[in-house]
Amino acid sequence: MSHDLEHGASVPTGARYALWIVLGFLAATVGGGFAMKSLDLGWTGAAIYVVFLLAITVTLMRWVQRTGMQSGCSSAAITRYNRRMLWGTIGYMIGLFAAVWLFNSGHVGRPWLWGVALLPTVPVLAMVWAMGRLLVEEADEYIRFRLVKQALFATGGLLAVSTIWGFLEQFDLVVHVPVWASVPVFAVMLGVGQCFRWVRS
Amino acid sequence: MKNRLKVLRAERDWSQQDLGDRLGVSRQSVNAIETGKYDPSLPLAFRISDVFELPIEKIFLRD
Repeated sequence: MSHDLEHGASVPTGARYALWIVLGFLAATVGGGFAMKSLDLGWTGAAIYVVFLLAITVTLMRWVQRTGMQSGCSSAAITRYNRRMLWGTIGYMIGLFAAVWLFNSGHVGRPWLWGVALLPTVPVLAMVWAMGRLLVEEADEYIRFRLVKQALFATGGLLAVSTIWGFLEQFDLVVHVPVWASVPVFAVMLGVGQCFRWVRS
Repeated sequence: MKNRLKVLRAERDWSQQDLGDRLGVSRQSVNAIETGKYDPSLPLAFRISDVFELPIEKIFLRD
């Protein structure tokens, strides 16, 4: 991986490599989801798919951590954040799988359904907490400045997308999107902001 | 803001990582300050001044 770290003037070749990694991850998750649905592999297939997703998520996040440390862009706070997000992601996948399985089993009484429905939310809220803690714990002022900018961009992007889609949905022009999609949209906007930063650098 | 960070660093044969370690910030932060993409806070500017043993005005130049 060759790039001018000292001057930072050129776009690092690692960014193109990273783009392929992210696109591969998206293809595996989204493409795998469509494949799962069309092939109808049942609960065993779904469990195998979840384990596969966990494995590539762990691999991706460890690659992100290593790359950050090698290029001098990491910190103790970011390392803790990555670890918390990884556990949050694992918890979310397991919680979501369990919630859907329990719901579809038909054996869960209505009062217990509230707890089942909220199973995936606990790790997601933990991830939101982890994002907040990162801003508090990050001691490097420039990294903190960049993180805040990224969060503002992602928030603005989420507001724009949800407003536009909401009105299009209101006039029956697009399909309904559940509200929990706001978190993945926010995450996508974080990635889009990062891509803009790479291109501008 | 223009600054002489790169020159001062080169005089001491320090890499960006070396300076970052001395200041307690990341290599990325040093790079951003050197290239004028980011102006340091007062506490960080004073730490830079201490590390190079020069007044702030000798390191950071008015536009």
